[in-house]
Amino acid sequence: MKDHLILKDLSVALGDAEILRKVNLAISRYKILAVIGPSGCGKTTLLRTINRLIEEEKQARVSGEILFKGKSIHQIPLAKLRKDIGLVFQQPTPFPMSIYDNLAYALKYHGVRGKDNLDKIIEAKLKLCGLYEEVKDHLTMSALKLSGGQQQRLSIARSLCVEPEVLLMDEPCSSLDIHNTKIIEDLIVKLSEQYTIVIVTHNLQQARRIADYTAFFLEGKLMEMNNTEAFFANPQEEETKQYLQGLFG
Amino acid sequence: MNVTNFPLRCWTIISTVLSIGLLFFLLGFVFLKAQGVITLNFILAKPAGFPVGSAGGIWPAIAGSLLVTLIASLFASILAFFSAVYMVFYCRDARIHLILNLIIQCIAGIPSIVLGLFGYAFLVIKLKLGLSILASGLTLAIMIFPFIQIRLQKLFQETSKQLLEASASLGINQAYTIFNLLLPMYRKQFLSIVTLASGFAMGAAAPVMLTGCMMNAPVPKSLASPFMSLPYHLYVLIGQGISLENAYGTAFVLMTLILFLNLLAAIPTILRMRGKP
Repeated sequence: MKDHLILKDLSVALGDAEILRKVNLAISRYKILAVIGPSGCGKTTLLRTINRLIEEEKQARVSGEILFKGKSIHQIPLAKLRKDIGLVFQQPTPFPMSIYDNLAYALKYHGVRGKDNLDKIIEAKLKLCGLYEEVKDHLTMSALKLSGGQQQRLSIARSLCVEPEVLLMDEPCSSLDIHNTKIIEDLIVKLSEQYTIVIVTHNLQQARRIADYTAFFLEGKLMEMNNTEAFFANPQEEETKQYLQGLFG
Repeated sequence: MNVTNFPLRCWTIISTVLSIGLLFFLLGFVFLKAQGVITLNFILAKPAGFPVGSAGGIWPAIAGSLLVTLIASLFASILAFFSAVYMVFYCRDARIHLILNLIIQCIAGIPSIVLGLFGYAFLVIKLKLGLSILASGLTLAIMIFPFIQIRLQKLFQETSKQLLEASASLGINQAYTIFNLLLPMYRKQFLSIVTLASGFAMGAAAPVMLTGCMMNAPVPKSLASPFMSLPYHLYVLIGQGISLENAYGTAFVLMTLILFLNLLAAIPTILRMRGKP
Protein backbone atom coordinates (compact mmCIF):
# COMPACT_ATOMS: atom_id res chain seq x y z
CA MET A 1 0.00 0.00 0.00
CA LYS A 2 1.40 3.33 -1.04
CA ASP A 3 -0.29 5.49 1.57
CA HIS A 4 1.20 4.81 4.95
CA LEU A 5 -1.05 7.09 6.94
CA ILE A 6 -4.47 8.36 5.92
CA LEU A 7 -6.41 11.01 7.81
CA LYS A 8 -10.14 11.11 7.17
CA ASP A 9 -12.27 14.03 8.33
CA LEU A 10 -10.06 14.42 11.37
CA SER A 11 -11.29 17.04 13.83
CA VAL A 12 -9.81 17.77 17.24
CA ALA A 13 -11.12 20.07 19.92
CA LEU A 14 -9.60 20.97 23.26
CA GLY A 15 -12.44 22.14 25.45
CA ASP A 16 -14.27 24.77 23.43
CA ALA A 17 -11.38 25.46 21.09
CA GLU A 18 -11.46 23.72 17.74
CA ILE A 19 -7.87 22.92 16.87
CA LEU A 20 -8.23 20.80 13.75
CA ARG A 21 -11.22 20.91 11.39
CA LYS A 22 -12.03 18.04 9.06
CA VAL A 23 -8.52 17.34 7.88
CA ASN A 24 -8.14 14.87 5.05
CA LEU A 25 -4.71 13.87 3.87
CA ALA A 26 -2.64 10.89 2.88
CA ILE A 27 1.02 10.36 3.66
CA SER A 28 3.06 8.13 1.38
CA ARG A 29 5.55 5.58 2.56
CA TYR A 30 9.19 6.67 2.72
CA LYS A 31 8.37 10.25 1.88
CA ILE A 32 8.89 13.42 3.86
CA LEU A 33 5.81 15.53 4.44
CA ALA A 34 6.43 19.02 5.77
CA VAL A 35 3.58 20.64 7.64
CA ILE A 36 3.75 24.42 7.67
CA GLY A 37 1.50 27.19 8.90
CA PRO A 38 1.35 30.06 11.38
CA SER A 39 1.53 29.45 15.14
CA GLY A 40 -1.63 27.93 16.57
CA CYS A 41 -2.83 26.44 13.31
CA GLY A 42 -2.86 22.93 14.75
CA LYS A 43 0.41 21.55 13.38
CA THR A 44 1.61 20.12 16.68
CA THR A 45 -1.87 18.85 17.55
CA LEU A 46 -1.88 16.98 14.26
CA LEU A 47 1.22 15.03 15.27
CA ARG A 48 -0.04 14.45 18.79
CA THR A 49 -3.31 13.11 17.41
CA ILE A 50 -1.57 10.64 15.13
CA ASN A 51 0.26 8.90 17.98
CA ARG A 52 -2.71 9.44 20.34
CA LEU A 53 -0.79 11.58 22.80
CA ILE A 54 -3.61 14.09 22.51
CA GLU A 55 -5.92 11.69 24.31
CA GLU A 56 -3.91 12.16 27.50
CA GLU A 57 -5.35 15.67 27.66
CA LYS A 58 -8.48 15.66 29.74
CA GLN A 59 -10.47 17.97 27.50
CA ALA A 60 -9.51 16.54 24.15
CA ARG A 61 -12.22 15.38 21.75
CA VAL A 62 -11.20 13.65 18.55
CA SER A 63 -13.49 12.73 15.68
CA GLY A 64 -12.82 11.32 12.26
CA GLU A 65 -10.43 8.54 11.49
CA ILE A 66 -6.72 7.89 11.15
CA LEU A 67 -5.65 4.82 9.24
CA PHE A 68 -2.17 3.42 9.71
CA LYS A 69 -1.38 0.85 7.01
CA GLY A 70 -5.08 0.68 6.30
CA LYS A 71 -6.08 -0.01 9.91
CA SER A 72 -7.70 2.45 12.30
CA ILE A 73 -5.20 3.55 14.94
CA HIS A 74 -7.76 2.73 17.60
CA GLN A 75 -7.65 -0.92 16.60
CA ILE A 76 -3.91 -1.05 17.24
CA PRO A 77 -2.77 -1.50 20.86
CA LEU A 78 -1.53 1.85 22.13
CA ALA A 79 1.98 0.64 22.95
CA LYS A 80 2.34 -0.91 19.50
CA LEU A 81 1.03 2.21 17.79
CA ARG A 82 3.47 4.49 19.60
CA LYS A 83 6.30 2.08 18.95
CA ASP A 84 5.46 2.11 15.24
CA ILE A 85 4.90 5.86 15.06
CA GLY A 86 7.67 7.69 16.89
CA LEU A 87 7.57 11.32 17.93
CA VAL A 88 10.51 13.71 18.22
CA PHE A 89 9.81 16.87 20.17
CA GLN A 90 10.68 20.49 19.56
CA GLN A 91 13.01 20.64 22.54
CA PRO A 92 15.48 17.76 22.84
CA THR A 93 14.25 15.43 25.58
CA PRO A 94 17.22 13.46 26.85
CA PHE A 95 16.39 11.48 29.97
CA PRO A 96 18.59 12.30 32.97
CA MET A 97 20.69 9.18 32.62
CA SER A 98 23.69 8.07 30.59
CA ILE A 99 23.73 8.20 26.80
CA TYR A 100 23.70 4.41 26.68
CA ASP A 101 20.81 4.11 29.13
CA ASN A 102 18.79 6.67 27.18
CA LEU A 103 18.85 4.29 24.25
CA ALA A 104 18.61 1.06 26.22
CA TYR A 105 15.62 2.37 28.18
CA ALA A 106 12.99 1.66 25.55
CA LEU A 107 14.79 -1.36 24.13
CA LYS A 108 14.65 -3.16 27.46
CA TYR A 109 10.98 -2.32 27.81
CA HIS A 110 10.24 -3.79 24.42
CA GLY A 111 11.99 -7.00 25.33
CA VAL A 112 15.47 -6.71 23.88
CA ARG A 113 17.70 -8.78 26.16
CA GLY A 114 21.41 -9.36 26.41
CA LYS A 115 24.15 -6.79 26.37
CA ASP A 116 25.38 -7.84 22.93
CA ASN A 117 21.98 -7.27 21.36
CA LEU A 118 21.58 -3.93 23.10
CA ASP A 119 25.07 -2.82 22.12
CA LYS A 120 24.50 -3.75 18.50
CA ILE A 121 21.24 -1.83 18.14
CA ILE A 122 22.51 1.19 20.08
CA GLU A 123 25.65 1.41 18.00
CA ALA A 124 23.68 1.10 14.76
CA LYS A 125 21.21 3.84 15.71
CA LEU A 126 23.93 6.17 16.94
CA LYS A 127 25.77 5.64 13.66
CA LEU A 128 22.61 6.26 11.68
CA CYS A 129 22.18 9.59 13.50
CA GLY A 130 25.83 10.50 13.01
CA LEU A 131 26.43 10.60 16.72
CA TYR A 132 28.49 7.47 17.19
CA GLU A 133 31.92 8.91 16.46
CA GLU A 134 31.25 11.84 18.79
CA VAL A 135 30.08 9.83 21.78
CA LYS A 136 31.51 6.31 21.42
CA ASP A 137 34.03 6.88 24.19
CA HIS A 138 31.51 8.58 26.49
CA LEU A 139 28.53 6.27 26.42
CA THR A 140 28.34 6.28 30.20
CA MET A 141 28.36 10.07 30.36
CA SER A 142 25.14 11.82 31.32
CA ALA A 143 23.12 12.69 28.23
CA LEU A 144 22.41 16.09 29.77
CA LYS A 145 26.04 17.04 29.13
CA LEU A 146 25.65 16.78 25.36
CA SER A 147 25.19 19.91 23.28
CA GLY A 148 21.70 20.85 22.08
CA GLY A 149 22.26 19.44 18.61
CA GLN A 150 23.70 16.22 19.99
CA GLN A 151 20.80 15.91 22.41
CA GLN A 152 18.33 16.22 19.56
CA ARG A 153 20.16 13.59 17.53
CA LEU A 154 20.14 11.37 20.62
CA SER A 155 16.37 11.91 20.93
CA ILE A 156 15.98 10.87 17.30
CA ALA A 157 18.25 7.85 17.80
CA ARG A 158 16.17 6.89 20.83
CA SER A 159 12.97 7.02 18.78
CA LEU A 160 14.61 4.89 16.09
CA CYS A 161 15.76 2.26 18.59
CA VAL A 162 12.26 0.82 18.85
CA GLU A 163 12.11 0.41 15.05
CA PRO A 164 9.24 2.73 14.16
CA GLU A 165 7.86 2.91 10.63
CA VAL A 166 6.79 6.51 10.82
CA LEU A 167 8.66 9.34 12.50
CA LEU A 168 6.76 12.44 13.51
CA MET A 169 8.97 15.45 14.15
CA ASP A 170 7.73 18.60 15.82
CA GLU A 171 10.02 21.46 14.76
CA PRO A 172 13.10 19.40 15.60
CA CYS A 173 15.48 22.20 14.63
CA SER A 174 13.78 25.18 16.19
CA SER A 175 16.11 25.29 19.18
CA LEU A 176 19.27 24.62 17.19
CA ASP A 177 21.80 26.80 15.38
CA ILE A 178 22.39 26.71 11.62
CA HIS A 179 25.18 24.16 11.79
CA ASN A 180 23.16 21.69 13.84
CA THR A 181 20.06 22.34 11.76
CA LYS A 182 22.02 21.32 8.67
CA ILE A 183 23.15 18.11 10.36
CA ILE A 184 19.60 17.22 11.39
CA GLU A 185 18.19 18.06 7.95
CA ASP A 186 20.73 15.80 6.24
CA LEU A 187 19.83 13.13 8.76
CA ILE A 188 16.11 13.46 8.02
CA VAL A 189 16.71 13.07 4.30
CA LYS A 190 18.83 9.99 4.97
CA LEU A 191 16.19 8.55 7.33
CA SER A 192 13.49 8.91 4.68
CA GLU A 193 15.04 5.95 2.89
CA GLN A 194 13.80 3.73 5.71
CA TYR A 195 11.10 5.71 7.45
CA THR A 196 8.06 7.77 6.58
CA ILE A 197 8.53 11.23 8.03
CA VAL A 198 6.11 13.98 8.95
CA ILE A 199 7.91 17.13 10.00
CA VAL A 200 6.27 20.23 11.41
CA THR A 201 8.36 23.28 10.68
CA HIS A 202 8.24 27.03 10.93
CA ASN A 203 11.05 27.31 8.50
CA LEU A 204 9.76 27.49 4.91
CA GLN A 205 13.22 27.06 3.46
CA GLN A 206 13.63 23.91 5.48
CA ALA A 207 10.42 22.49 4.05
CA ARG A 208 11.66 23.40 0.60
CA ARG A 209 15.08 21.82 1.16
CA ILE A 210 14.03 18.46 2.53
CA ALA A 211 10.34 17.68 2.00
CA ASP A 212 8.80 15.65 -0.80
CA TYR A 213 5.37 17.06 -0.02
CA THR A 214 4.31 20.19 1.79
CA ALA A 215 0.99 20.83 3.52
CA PHE A 216 -0.18 24.27 4.60
CA PHE A 217 -2.47 24.55 7.60
CA LEU A 218 -4.43 27.62 8.61
CA GLU A 219 -6.75 27.85 11.60
CA GLY A 220 -6.99 24.10 11.87
CA LYS A 221 -7.81 23.52 8.23
CA LEU A 222 -5.63 21.91 5.61
CA MET A 223 -5.53 24.66 2.99
CA GLU A 224 -3.32 23.06 0.44
CA MET A 225 -1.02 20.12 -0.08
CA ASN A 226 1.17 19.34 -3.03
CA ASN A 227 4.60 18.05 -3.90
CA THR A 228 7.04 20.55 -2.54
CA GLU A 229 8.34 21.91 -5.78
CA ALA A 230 4.89 22.64 -7.16
CA PHE A 231 3.70 23.88 -3.78
CA PHE A 232 6.29 26.63 -3.61
CA ALA A 233 6.41 27.39 -7.33
CA ASN A 234 2.72 27.58 -7.87
CA PRO A 235 0.56 27.82 -4.77
CA GLN A 236 -3.13 27.51 -5.56
CA GLU A 237 -4.81 29.20 -2.64
CA GLU A 238 -4.69 32.92 -1.96
CA GLU A 239 -3.87 32.34 1.72
CA THR A 240 -0.97 30.07 0.80
CA LYS A 241 0.46 32.72 -1.49
CA GLN A 242 0.21 35.35 1.21
CA TYR A 243 1.79 33.07 3.80
CA LEU A 244 4.64 32.15 1.49
CA GLN A 245 5.21 35.83 0.78
CA GLY A 246 5.47 36.43 4.48
CA LEU A 247 2.37 38.61 4.63
CA PHE A 248 1.29 36.84 7.84
CA GLY A 249 2.59 34.14 10.09
CA MET B 1 10.44 54.29 49.45
CA ASN B 2 13.63 53.67 51.34
CA VAL B 3 11.97 54.98 54.48
CA THR B 4 9.40 52.18 54.54
CA ASN B 5 11.88 49.58 53.36
CA PHE B 6 14.35 50.18 56.13
CA PRO B 7 12.39 48.81 59.13
CA LEU B 8 11.35 45.77 57.11
CA ARG B 9 14.92 45.03 56.12
CA CYS B 10 16.09 45.46 59.69
CA TRP B 11 13.41 43.12 60.95
CA THR B 12 14.18 40.43 58.36
CA ILE B 13 17.86 40.57 59.32
CA ILE B 14 17.06 40.45 63.04
CA SER B 15 14.71 37.49 62.52
CA THR B 16 17.31 35.59 60.56
CA VAL B 17 20.06 36.25 63.09
CA LEU B 18 17.71 35.33 65.94
CA SER B 19 16.69 32.01 64.42
CA ILE B 20 20.25 31.00 63.57
CA GLY B 21 21.42 32.25 66.95
CA LEU B 22 18.75 30.23 68.69
CA LEU B 23 20.00 27.00 67.12
CA PHE B 24 23.59 27.68 68.15
CA PHE B 25 22.52 28.80 71.62
CA LEU B 26 20.46 25.65 72.10
CA LEU B 27 23.23 23.36 70.87
CA GLY B 28 25.83 25.21 72.91
CA PHE B 29 23.71 25.25 76.01
CA VAL B 30 22.94 21.54 75.90
CA PHE B 31 26.56 20.76 75.11
CA LEU B 32 27.86 22.79 78.03
CA LYS B 33 25.45 21.11 80.40
CA ALA B 34 26.22 17.68 78.99
CA GLN B 35 29.98 17.82 78.55
CA GLY B 36 30.59 16.25 81.94
CA VAL B 37 28.72 13.07 81.08
CA ILE B 38 29.46 12.60 77.40
CA THR B 39 32.01 9.79 77.41
CA LEU B 40 32.42 6.70 75.31
CA ASN B 41 31.13 4.70 78.25
CA PHE B 42 27.98 6.83 78.43
CA ILE B 43 27.28 6.13 74.79
CA LEU B 44 28.10 2.44 74.80
CA ALA B 45 26.90 1.25 78.23
CA LYS B 46 23.52 0.09 79.45
CA PRO B 47 21.60 2.28 81.90
CA ALA B 48 22.43 1.36 85.47
CA GLY B 49 22.05 2.61 89.01
CA PHE B 50 19.00 2.96 91.18
CA PRO B 51 16.67 4.36 90.02
CA VAL B 52 17.77 3.02 86.67
CA GLY B 53 19.27 5.74 84.47
CA SER B 54 20.99 7.55 87.27
CA ALA B 55 24.21 5.85 86.21
CA GLY B 56 25.51 3.88 83.22
CA GLY B 57 24.87 4.84 79.65
CA ILE B 58 22.27 5.03 76.92
CA TRP B 59 23.32 2.51 74.27
CA PRO B 60 19.99 0.59 74.20
CA ALA B 61 18.18 3.91 73.75
CA ILE B 62 20.45 4.92 70.86
CA ALA B 63 20.03 1.55 69.17
CA GLY B 64 16.28 1.52 69.86
CA SER B 65 15.83 5.00 68.44
CA LEU B 66 17.79 4.15 65.30
CA LEU B 67 15.87 0.92 64.74
CA VAL B 68 12.42 2.34 65.37
CA THR B 69 13.27 5.23 63.03
CA LEU B 70 14.38 2.78 60.37
CA ILE B 71 11.13 0.82 60.64
CA ALA B 72 9.06 4.01 60.52
CA SER B 73 10.95 5.42 57.53
CA LEU B 74 10.69 2.19 55.62
CA PHE B 75 6.94 1.82 56.01
CA ALA B 76 6.19 5.51 55.60
CA SER B 77 8.30 5.93 52.47
CA ILE B 78 6.78 2.92 50.70
CA LEU B 79 3.28 4.12 51.52
CA ALA B 80 4.07 7.73 50.64
CA PHE B 81 5.74 6.81 47.36
CA PHE B 82 2.78 4.84 46.07
CA SER B 83 0.17 7.29 47.24
CA ALA B 84 2.10 10.18 45.65
CA VAL B 85 2.34 8.20 42.41
CA TYR B 86 -1.39 7.56 42.53
CA MET B 87 -2.21 11.20 43.19
CA VAL B 88 -0.01 12.55 40.43
CA PHE B 89 -0.16 9.94 37.68
CA TYR B 90 -3.31 7.90 38.12
CA CYS B 91 -5.96 9.97 39.87
CA ARG B 92 -7.90 11.73 37.11
CA ASP B 93 -10.86 12.90 39.19
CA ALA B 94 -10.29 16.37 40.62
CA ARG B 95 -12.71 15.77 43.50
CA ILE B 96 -10.98 12.60 44.67
CA HIS B 97 -7.70 14.44 44.40
CA LEU B 98 -9.01 17.24 46.60
CA ILE B 99 -10.44 14.87 49.20
CA LEU B 100 -7.22 12.84 49.39
CA ASN B 101 -5.14 15.97 49.75
CA LEU B 102 -7.40 17.10 52.57
CA ILE B 103 -7.14 13.74 54.33
CA ILE B 104 -3.36 13.73 54.10
CA GLN B 105 -3.18 17.23 55.53
CA CYS B 106 -5.47 16.13 58.35
CA ILE B 107 -3.13 13.23 59.14
CA ALA B 108 -0.30 15.74 59.27
CA GLY B 109 -2.30 17.67 61.86
CA ILE B 110 -3.03 14.79 64.25
CA PRO B 111 -1.41 15.49 67.63
CA SER B 112 1.35 12.97 68.21
CA ILE B 113 -0.04 11.84 71.57
CA VAL B 114 -3.33 11.00 69.86
CA LEU B 115 -1.35 8.93 67.37
CA GLY B 116 0.23 7.21 70.35
CA LEU B 117 -3.20 6.44 71.76
CA PHE B 118 -4.34 5.10 68.36
CA GLY B 119 -1.20 2.99 68.10
CA TYR B 120 -1.88 1.56 71.54
CA ALA B 121 -5.58 0.85 70.98
CA PHE B 122 -5.34 -0.40 67.40
CA LEU B 123 -1.86 -1.84 66.85
CA VAL B 124 -0.91 -2.99 70.33
CA ILE B 125 -4.29 -4.23 71.55
CA LYS B 126 -6.53 -4.87 68.53
CA LEU B 127 -3.91 -6.24 66.14
CA LYS B 128 -2.16 -7.89 69.07
CA LEU B 129 1.26 -6.56 68.15
CA GLY B 130 1.92 -6.02 71.84
CA LEU B 131 4.19 -3.33 73.24
CA SER B 132 6.82 -3.69 70.57
CA ILE B 133 9.23 -1.81 68.36
CA LEU B 134 7.04 -2.78 65.39
CA ALA B 135 3.95 -1.12 66.91
CA SER B 136 5.99 2.00 67.69
CA GLY B 137 7.57 2.02 64.25
CA LEU B 138 4.19 1.80 62.55
CA THR B 139 2.78 4.57 64.74
CA LEU B 140 5.72 6.79 63.86
CA ALA B 141 5.25 5.83 60.21
CA ILE B 142 1.74 7.27 60.31
CA MET B 143 3.18 10.44 61.78
CA ILE B 144 5.84 10.97 59.10
CA PHE B 145 3.82 9.61 56.17
CA PRO B 146 2.26 13.00 55.26
CA PHE B 147 5.65 14.70 55.60
CA ILE B 148 7.09 12.42 52.91
CA GLN B 149 3.94 12.13 50.80
CA ILE B 150 3.38 15.88 50.41
CA ARG B 151 6.99 16.50 49.37
CA LEU B 152 7.10 13.56 46.97
CA GLN B 153 3.84 14.62 45.40
CA LYS B 154 5.23 18.10 44.82
CA LEU B 155 8.39 16.61 43.33
CA PHE B 156 6.40 14.41 40.91
CA GLN B 157 4.12 17.27 39.96
CA GLU B 158 7.11 19.29 38.88
CA THR B 159 8.29 16.62 36.45
CA SER B 160 8.49 18.08 32.98
CA LYS B 161 5.47 16.95 30.98
CA GLN B 162 7.64 16.59 27.93
CA LEU B 163 9.84 14.00 29.59
CA LEU B 164 6.79 11.89 30.42
CA GLU B 165 5.45 12.32 26.90
CA ALA B 166 8.82 11.39 25.42
CA SER B 167 8.64 8.17 27.36
CA ALA B 168 5.02 7.55 26.36
CA SER B 169 5.93 8.21 22.72
CA LEU B 170 8.28 5.25 22.81
CA GLY B 171 5.27 3.04 23.49
CA ILE B 172 6.23 2.74 27.15
CA ASN B 173 3.59 2.39 29.84
CA GLN B 174 3.30 4.51 32.94
CA ALA B 175 4.48 1.89 35.42
CA TYR B 176 7.77 1.37 33.56
CA THR B 177 8.22 5.13 33.25
CA ILE B 178 7.70 5.59 36.99
CA PHE B 179 10.12 2.87 38.07
CA ASN B 180 12.78 3.26 35.38
CA LEU B 181 12.73 6.96 34.65
CA LEU B 182 11.26 8.86 37.60
CA LEU B 183 12.53 6.76 40.48
CA PRO B 184 16.18 6.84 39.35
CA MET B 185 15.79 10.52 38.47
CA TYR B 186 14.45 11.45 41.90
CA ARG B 187 16.46 8.92 43.91
CA LYS B 188 18.56 11.52 45.68
CA GLN B 189 15.68 13.85 46.51
CA PHE B 190 13.59 10.90 47.67
CA LEU B 191 16.34 9.73 50.03
CA SER B 192 16.84 13.26 51.24
CA ILE B 193 13.14 13.66 52.06
CA VAL B 194 13.04 10.32 53.88
CA THR B 195 16.17 11.22 55.83
CA LEU B 196 14.64 14.49 56.91
CA ALA B 197 11.46 12.70 57.93
CA SER B 198 13.43 10.14 59.89
CA GLY B 199 14.95 12.95 61.93
CA PHE B 200 11.44 14.07 62.69
CA ALA B 201 10.47 10.53 63.75
CA MET B 202 13.57 10.06 65.88
CA GLY B 203 12.75 13.06 68.03
CA ALA B 204 9.17 12.08 68.81
CA ALA B 205 8.37 10.74 72.28
CA ALA B 206 4.58 10.69 72.40
CA PRO B 207 3.89 8.10 69.67
CA VAL B 208 6.36 5.60 71.12
CA MET B 209 5.71 5.94 74.85
CA LEU B 210 2.33 4.21 74.68
CA THR B 211 3.23 1.63 72.05
CA GLY B 212 6.39 -0.15 73.02
CA CYS B 213 8.93 2.11 74.62
CA MET B 214 10.28 1.12 78.06
CA MET B 215 12.18 2.81 80.83
CA ASN B 216 14.69 0.03 80.71
CA ALA B 217 15.04 -2.60 78.02
CA PRO B 218 17.89 -4.28 76.16
CA VAL B 219 18.63 -3.62 72.50
CA PRO B 220 15.60 -5.18 70.74
CA LYS B 221 16.21 -8.64 69.32
CA SER B 222 13.09 -8.84 67.19
CA LEU B 223 10.28 -6.70 65.86
CA ALA B 224 8.13 -7.93 68.74
CA SER B 225 10.53 -6.75 71.47
CA PRO B 226 9.95 -3.64 73.52
CA PHE B 227 12.76 -1.11 73.32
CA MET B 228 14.24 2.09 74.68
CA SER B 229 14.24 5.37 72.81
CA LEU B 230 16.23 8.55 73.37
CA PRO B 231 13.34 11.06 73.63
CA TYR B 232 11.40 8.83 76.02
CA HIS B 233 14.51 8.15 78.09
CA LEU B 234 15.07 11.89 78.30
CA TYR B 235 11.47 12.39 79.36
CA VAL B 236 11.76 9.82 82.14
CA LEU B 237 15.10 11.12 83.38
CA ILE B 238 13.70 14.62 83.78
CA GLY B 239 10.09 13.81 84.58
CA GLN B 240 11.00 11.53 87.44
CA GLY B 241 13.94 13.61 88.56
CA ILE B 242 16.38 10.75 88.07
CA SER B 243 19.38 12.59 86.70
CA LEU B 244 19.39 16.02 85.12
CA GLU B 245 22.99 15.57 83.98
CA ASN B 246 22.27 12.33 82.14
CA ALA B 247 19.18 13.96 80.65
CA TYR B 248 21.37 16.64 79.11
CA GLY B 249 23.76 13.95 77.89
CA THR B 250 20.85 12.11 76.28
CA ALA B 251 19.53 15.34 74.78
CA PHE B 252 22.91 16.10 73.29
CA VAL B 253 23.22 12.68 71.69
CA LEU B 254 19.67 12.93 70.32
CA MET B 255 20.28 16.39 68.89
CA THR B 256 23.56 15.32 67.33
CA LEU B 257 21.92 12.36 65.64
CA ILE B 258 19.08 14.48 64.27
CA LEU B 259 21.48 17.20 63.17
CA PHE B 260 23.54 14.56 61.42
CA LEU B 261 20.44 13.26 59.63
CA ASN B 262 19.49 16.77 58.57
CA LEU B 263 22.97 17.42 57.22
CA LEU B 264 22.84 14.11 55.38
CA ALA B 265 19.54 15.18 53.84
CA ALA B 266 21.10 18.46 52.70
CA ILE B 267 23.92 16.77 50.76
CA PRO B 268 22.07 16.62 47.39
CA THR B 269 21.23 20.30 47.66
CA ILE B 270 24.79 21.21 48.54
CA LEU B 271 26.14 19.14 45.66
CA ARG B 272 23.68 20.75 43.28
CA MET B 273 24.77 24.21 44.38
CA ARG B 274 28.33 23.29 43.62
CA GLY B 275 27.23 22.30 40.11
CA LYS B 276 27.71 18.57 40.44
CA PRO B 277 24.94 16.25 39.21
